[in-house]
Amino acid sequence: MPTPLTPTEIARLRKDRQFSELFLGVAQYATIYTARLASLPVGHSDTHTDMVTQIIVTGGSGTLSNILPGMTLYVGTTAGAYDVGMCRIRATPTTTTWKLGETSEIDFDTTVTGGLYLTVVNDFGLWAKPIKIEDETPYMDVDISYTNQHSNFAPVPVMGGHHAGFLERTDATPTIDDADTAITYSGSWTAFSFGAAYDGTIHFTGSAGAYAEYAFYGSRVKVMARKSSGDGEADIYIDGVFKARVDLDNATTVWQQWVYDNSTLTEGAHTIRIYCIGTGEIWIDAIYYEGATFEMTISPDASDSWVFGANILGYQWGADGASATSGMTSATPTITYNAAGTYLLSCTISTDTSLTTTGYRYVLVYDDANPPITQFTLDGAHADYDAGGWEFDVTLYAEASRAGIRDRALCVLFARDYFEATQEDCPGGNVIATGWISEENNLKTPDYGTTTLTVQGAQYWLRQMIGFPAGLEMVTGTPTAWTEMKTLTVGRYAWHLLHWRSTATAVMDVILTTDARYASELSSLADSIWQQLRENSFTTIYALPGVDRLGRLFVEIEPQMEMPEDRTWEQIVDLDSQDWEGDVEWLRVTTPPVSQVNLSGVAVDGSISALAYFSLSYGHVFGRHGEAHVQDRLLVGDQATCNNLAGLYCGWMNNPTPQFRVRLCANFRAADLWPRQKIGITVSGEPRGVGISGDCVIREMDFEHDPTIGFLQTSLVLERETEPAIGVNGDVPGREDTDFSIPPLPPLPPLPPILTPYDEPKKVLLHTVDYGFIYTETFDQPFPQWKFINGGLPAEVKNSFNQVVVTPYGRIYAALCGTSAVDISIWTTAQPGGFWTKIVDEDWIRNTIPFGDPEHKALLLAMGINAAAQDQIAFIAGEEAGPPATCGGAFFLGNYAGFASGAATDSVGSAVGFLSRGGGEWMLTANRQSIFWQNAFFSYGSNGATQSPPSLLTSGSAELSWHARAGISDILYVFHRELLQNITGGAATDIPITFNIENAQCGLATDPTSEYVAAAEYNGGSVKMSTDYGYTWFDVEDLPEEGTYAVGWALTDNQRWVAASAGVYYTNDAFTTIYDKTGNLDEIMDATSRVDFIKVLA
Amino acid sequence: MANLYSYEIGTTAGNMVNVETLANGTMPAPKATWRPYTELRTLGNLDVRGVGYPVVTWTWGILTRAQRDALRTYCTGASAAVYIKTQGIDNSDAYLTVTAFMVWPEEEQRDATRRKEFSIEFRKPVSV
Repeated sequence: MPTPLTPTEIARLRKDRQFSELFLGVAQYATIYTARLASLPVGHSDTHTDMVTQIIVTGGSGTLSNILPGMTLYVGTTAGAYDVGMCRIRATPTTTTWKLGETSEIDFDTTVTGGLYLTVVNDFGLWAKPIKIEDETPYMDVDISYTNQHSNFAPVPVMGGHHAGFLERTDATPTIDDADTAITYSGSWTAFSFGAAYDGTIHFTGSAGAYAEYAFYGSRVKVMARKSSGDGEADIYIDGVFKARVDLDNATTVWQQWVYDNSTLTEGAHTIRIYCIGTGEIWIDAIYYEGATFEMTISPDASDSWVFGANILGYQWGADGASATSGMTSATPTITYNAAGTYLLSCTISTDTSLTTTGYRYVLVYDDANPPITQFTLDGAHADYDAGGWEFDVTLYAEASRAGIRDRALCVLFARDYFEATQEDCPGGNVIATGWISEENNLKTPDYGTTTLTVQGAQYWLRQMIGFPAGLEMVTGTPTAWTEMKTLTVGRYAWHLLHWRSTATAVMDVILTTDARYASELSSLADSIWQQLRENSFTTIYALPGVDRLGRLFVEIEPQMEMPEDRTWEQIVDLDSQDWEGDVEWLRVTTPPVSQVNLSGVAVDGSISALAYFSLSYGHVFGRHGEAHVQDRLLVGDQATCNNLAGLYCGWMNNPTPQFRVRLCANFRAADLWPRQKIGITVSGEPRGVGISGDCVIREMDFEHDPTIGFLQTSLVLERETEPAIGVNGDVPGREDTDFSIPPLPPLPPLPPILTPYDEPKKVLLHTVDYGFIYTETFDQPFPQWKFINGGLPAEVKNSFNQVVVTPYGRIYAALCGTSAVDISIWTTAQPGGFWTKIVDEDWIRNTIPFGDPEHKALLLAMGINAAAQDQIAFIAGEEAGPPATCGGAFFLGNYAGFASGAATDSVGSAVGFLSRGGGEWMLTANRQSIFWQNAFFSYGSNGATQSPPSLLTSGSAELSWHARAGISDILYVFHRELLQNITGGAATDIPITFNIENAQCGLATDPTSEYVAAAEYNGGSVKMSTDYGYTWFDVEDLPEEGTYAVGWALTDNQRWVAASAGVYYTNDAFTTIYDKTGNLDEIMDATSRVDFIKVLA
Repeated sequence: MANLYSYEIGTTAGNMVNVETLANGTMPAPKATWRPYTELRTLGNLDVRGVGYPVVTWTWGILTRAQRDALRTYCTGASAAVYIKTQGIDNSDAYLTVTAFMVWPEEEQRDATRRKEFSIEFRKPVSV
């Protein structure tokens, strides 16, 4: 984690003669196992390309147990090749069956003679883990069903980044004991313990031809042995050349005798071999040399590893190829390598809940004989806050043809740094940036050729990975599904995304915000894992992901959105004019761009009760200049923190000293954009005299290396830290007691803030009779892009919903109302594109409401929302009894997390009705229990606890059940074909009409005032409009004759409406002008199908 | 005849030879100059910081083709890593052994078969 520079380090950065040698390390992945493709398992017999999850192999070579989940499989037409493709080993394989990360991009052609070549390499890369859904049940990574993964959390190893460097020389004169594993023994030797021997051990043999061998780097070597009566002779060879025969026979036994000494060697690498020639036993005790060791030592630290709801219990490091290790079961081991190569470093952390996770990193070790790439120029390394990480370009001149530069290989750009022309450690470490090769640009001029590699950090790759829409909802009990999480926070959502939907937690450090604000649900329709992560982090708590130079991923709250007293992260350095070169130019904003921030937040407690808060900054009166910004649906703690957020956001947006660039005259790698850190700066002396003084946030960072002078130079784009502006309590939208009197008239103050100010609607939800739900967020565009959002909905249900509501929070509830003959149920999703889950079905009804006769059908009568609450619906369900057919059930109120039963449904008939809440009470329109079917409406009060006697409607058949409510008022239009009635304040009035209204939820729509009403003609025909409360109507012209329409109010005012059938149409002048918003709908939906529900969401 | 100066060059520490022994002993000793950094940068406080690696330059007034070719064996391309022993490092009068990148001049001034004002840069000298 970032630490402030010490005075010594600051002095180093201010030295003359700074320069750096740059090196590019490219990971060389070792082959672990090879085999040939035999076949694909049953189920893939018809195709060997699509959705392949496992393969049958033959002819395996290697140690099967060395194949670990997460390694990479090459599929090629020749040994070791990956020309057919790469995929991920998903699980521990058997000799014949290998489970793969689900893939459709590899042609596992089983007709290739001998089978395609399969090569497993120890490349632990960043992959998405596709989700699979079978029979409504989601499985992670193909086949992992939910058991308790969201209550017993897997830990996350935090091991640091990858390592790269050179074997460093250290002068050495060691005595190597015979028991040292670096001495190898060939033939029949016996290890013997004896106190007189060096270090208490000695090896002996009498077998002719047996030898001991040791490799060293030096200019002198000595051999220690025992001499004793009858001992034999030893031949000494160095580098394969005979040097001497040593006689170990001695009248008396003497220990620890130097019996061979060669001090005339040329300094370098040598191998000494000591042979027994068979004339007697030889007892070898030790080898001494004078020379040097070449080693690279790393000290990784896993003490920041973490787990939700448990404790880290242990660490087990793995470092194959290391020459020495210590502390391998601690958080902070020391690992030494003495030979060049690419080494895999692993760390398995375990919890007190008996779970483990293994992380993998690479150690790239080089020496003069095996150097990294050096003949290249750095074309720039850059990071910015919006991109979320680092990228760099290098142009290779002579070493690009290396076979080792594999496509998408891991690269580590590192340096050897000099200050005052003396090699010294650069604060911040030797690694400049890491990433994987994303593309290469090849150039051939008549004179020369170059290859430029672009290397991108994990932020780029996660953005390239399509993620299945991810949705989690908070539950109060133990989670029972992949979509549930207890005490749901942004951090836990991010963990689910990164651990279960990608391999990120295994291949990189993941350090998440510990912000404790609960969310009742978090979901995203964004395409990529990165965007899902960004979207849910920023739109809830203003957090953002970012990947630092070392490849560590952080999700942190935006620094400007923390209260000043909570900005406890470190100031790395305080820069002044001796630290930069050239100009510093900054803009001083004197006209704030934002005049008002209108922020709404919701505080969710552990029981998932939610309270909405509304805040304004600066206040109800707009600032003198600037735009109004709306920030909606933030997670807050209470009204005070909501006000703080509004103020912080306003202060940030109106930053008087936004971004400015400082070109440091130093090799400065001590800072990064992530994790959060401060850079102090003082700039003064410009004529205006305003200056800059204080802490800043780093928004961009660049490294430039001029190879003609060797100077590695750092540029920073800084943003001055801001103070929060004033934040005050806002107004609750739609509340009748909103105080319009302040500020006084004239001039008229702005109306109570509208939470969704916009020019045209953007988000529109459709339900269709053949394709289920379809949705767009580009409705304001000329050619909206529609897409299906039916994830989790069974095919037999998705087309059949007859009641759909969307709560102000954005959650969708869809009901299939009727009797148990039609698969009655209520489904919900947290937001468009989220995963649908069933919350009510026939079993639920039968288990909740005691049936008088179990043979009776279950009945789901009606569903509706309380549009004045964040997330509240009601429905009526029960037992269909009779005759006459009745609903022997109850009123239920709640949301997806649970429902409480209210009043019994006395006198309510069994025909499907409709519910809504307005004017402070719930209203059901249905029919009443009678020997004659009669239309009626029932009031259930403010919370459904009581039911009024039925109020009979004055006319109509018993099927007058649908209604459209005017906003949250007490005004309803009840309709059925040729019948239309107005109910205001409980009083019904017939409205004569001369056409038939479509008998469905979207057959009629009204604006919140009830003055304007749109209606779709029954069973085909056009759309009609009334601007006088339904008393007179005109035909909407210019709409295509596509069949029966669904109509909807398009928010904001009485001029905006939508209508849809086979196409979708929009008007912003009460159907005088029609805009075709069909977009790509006719490409994804057959023209003979149609929309039966339409709702503008925002 | 004893060499007047102690300038040496080699591809390893072990094969360094006195420059004056090159070209059958006809090579004159160079004149060594020293630049402690490559560039000067003006800081925000108008101070100046020298950045980049130091450079040692060996200059000969005139070299014959044979003498020039003898040097060329140490640097057959645009640059090569060499060991040199030279005066001038940090303006020291002592002869110090360093590793450096020997950079062949981009242009060679000719006078018939001779090279005039022949300079070779040794960049990034590091003491060994």
